[in-house]
Amino acid sequence: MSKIKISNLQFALTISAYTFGVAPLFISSSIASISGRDAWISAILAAVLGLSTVYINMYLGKLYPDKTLIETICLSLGKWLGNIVSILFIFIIFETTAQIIWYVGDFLTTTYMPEVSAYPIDILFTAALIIAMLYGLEAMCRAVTIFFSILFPFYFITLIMLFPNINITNVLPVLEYGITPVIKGTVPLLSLCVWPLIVLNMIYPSNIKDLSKAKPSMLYGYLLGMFVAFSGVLMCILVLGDTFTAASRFPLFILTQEVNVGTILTRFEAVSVAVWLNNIFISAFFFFYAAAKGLSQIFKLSDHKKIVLPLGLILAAYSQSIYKNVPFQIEWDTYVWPPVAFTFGVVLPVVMIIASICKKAAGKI
Amino acid sequence: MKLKKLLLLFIMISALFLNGCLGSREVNDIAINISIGIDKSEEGYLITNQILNPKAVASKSGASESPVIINTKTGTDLFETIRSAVTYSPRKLYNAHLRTIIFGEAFAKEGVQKVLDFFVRDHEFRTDYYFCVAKGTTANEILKTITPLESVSGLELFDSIEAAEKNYAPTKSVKILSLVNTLLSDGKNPVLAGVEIKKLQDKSTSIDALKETDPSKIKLAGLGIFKKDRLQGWLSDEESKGYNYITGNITDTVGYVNVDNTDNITFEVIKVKSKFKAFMSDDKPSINVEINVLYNIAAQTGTFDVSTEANSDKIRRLVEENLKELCISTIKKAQTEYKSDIFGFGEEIHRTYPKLWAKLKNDWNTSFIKLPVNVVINAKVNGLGENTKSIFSKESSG
Repeated sequence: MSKIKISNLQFALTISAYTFGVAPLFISSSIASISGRDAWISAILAAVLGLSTVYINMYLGKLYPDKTLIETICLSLGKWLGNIVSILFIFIIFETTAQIIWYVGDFLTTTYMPEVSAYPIDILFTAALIIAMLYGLEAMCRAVTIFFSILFPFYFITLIMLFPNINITNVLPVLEYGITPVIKGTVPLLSLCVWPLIVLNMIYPSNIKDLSKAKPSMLYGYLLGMFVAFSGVLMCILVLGDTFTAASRFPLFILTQEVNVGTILTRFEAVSVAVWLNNIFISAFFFFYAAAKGLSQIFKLSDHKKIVLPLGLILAAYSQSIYKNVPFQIEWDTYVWPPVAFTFGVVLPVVMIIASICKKAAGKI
Repeated sequence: MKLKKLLLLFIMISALFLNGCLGSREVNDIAINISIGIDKSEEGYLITNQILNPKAVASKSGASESPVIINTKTGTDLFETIRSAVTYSPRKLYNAHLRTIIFGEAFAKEGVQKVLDFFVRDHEFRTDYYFCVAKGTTANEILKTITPLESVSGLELFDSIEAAEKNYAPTKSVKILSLVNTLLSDGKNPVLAGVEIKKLQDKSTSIDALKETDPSKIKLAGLGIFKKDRLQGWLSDEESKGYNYITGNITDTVGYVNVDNTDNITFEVIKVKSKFKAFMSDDKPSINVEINVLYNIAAQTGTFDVSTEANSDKIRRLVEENLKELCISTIKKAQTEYKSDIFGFGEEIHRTYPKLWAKLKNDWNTSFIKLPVNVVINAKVNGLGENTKSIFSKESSG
């Protein structure tokens, strides 16, 4: 059986794009609403705390080198419990994919086309997802490198052009209300960017060409992604101020509207939208891939591409009813998603590692 | 293969319906809104939209029509009133090219905060337009006035605020972001550029006004001081310059000093850097304002020798005195007359003494009145222009 293999560079870039993925446009808002002008410290702290998650995922991958996450769950938790957990896991991932598609429709209808229904946008996005899925993982990972080499410089050029607008007093005084809000402020970033990294364990050990070098590339990819998130948060606070950032739905979008260099380089928000759409597409792809691949493995299908189209059609319809409206989405993302992400992103892998260590120990005796 | 064909068919069918023009609005369906004036009326708001007249602006043969169309409407709700302008014109307003928002004086005195949410929330508004306040008149009157050079008063205002701030500094360009952030902060109150009508003639609202040699009717008029979101009063041009010195918001400006009671020496300031520092004296917070000024000698009326070291030092001290007086009188005016901290001294205390600030912030504007402020000016001469001594100095050269 010829297996899909992706190179380490592709994997690193995939991780970084995935880490930053869904979050860039609105993450600063949720962090700033908790930790105020110290949001950038929260971002650094989240990156450091998130390292533990990365190491847990690495360790998990090492336990069963050529298995995907779903197979690992079934192997470590036993047939019955493993299957139940896997199905729950897939359901959550699938739901998240629908949510990501909802975000796309919601963003475009809010900022550019309020007269338009989100349906056609979502259908187009889902169609692109399905096409990407049918081309397969390898093609997508190659595409990620291309996206990256074009959009990553654009993103940073945009941020650099904001330097004249920086107001350093926006971040002072540092740590006015102590460290507690800063720690609380890490939760949105951890739950949106870091804990979902577990999904990449669907490709991490099994589809990597050179496993010995995969670790550093995973680490670098993660750090790069977190750095991008951090720079976005920092610039939002520096240019927009914390209260404005917290009240805004898409702070990064407003931020790039502020670009005005020599009156020629203005109105750059479309760049940030392009970067975000690409990132969110990459994220959605890996969520969708994990769901389809996982489902096909549970039902022992030979090829996951067979179920892509039906799943995609469900997604396109489901994405419209996943959130009732925007206040619902905000509440869901603040109160429901962090525990869910924590359960599947941290508790599950730790339980799996403990279970498999116990199994090995029991096997030796 | 079959799947691919199906997919292709699906995409083709979607392409039929989703051809990228969803929700599009053609240029001939929109009315480009240049300026919005917000005034008080009995019902609530009196909204004035200044809409570009495409026919007059595009025609090369000279304006035979008014370049703008004024659209006035009263109503109780801001957005509803703006939107209901459509009953006056066949085109829907397009706000993405908005250049200025003008508050009428009476409206600004009752608070402007309530209208700001709309401009941040609505998707069509960008963030690059300026706010100003109509001094002694209504925004409606300002927008109705026809101006020379730019011919659209909303555009002219935008450009003159920008030009004046860069070259003379009697005003300040305030965009929505800084206005909102200043309103949010406890230790700083906003200022907005003032606009007034110079003189109202009979013909000023008709195109005939342009046929006169002195048609300029709209003039920038210093800065309006706010306390929270309510207009308190006005700074004169000179005091507004003082304000800009204190906040370091100067790219270029001009001033003069009097030497030996006879000669006026004009200096052009080319660089200003200001720094606040909070410190405690007698257990009370105080502020030290340090302003570094770099200037050139621009002109003189007499024959004072500006080229010697000793004389240049004399001028430097005079400049420092002059600017210090200007800054102190501006601060005094804000403290005694308007009782509003427009400089952001409170923010500096917030940054230096976060714990003390927690007690002060609720009633900062009252504490501000008694705040001791020390102003230090460090002036430095840069160049003398293209001359050394005065061209009229007849001293024999040895």
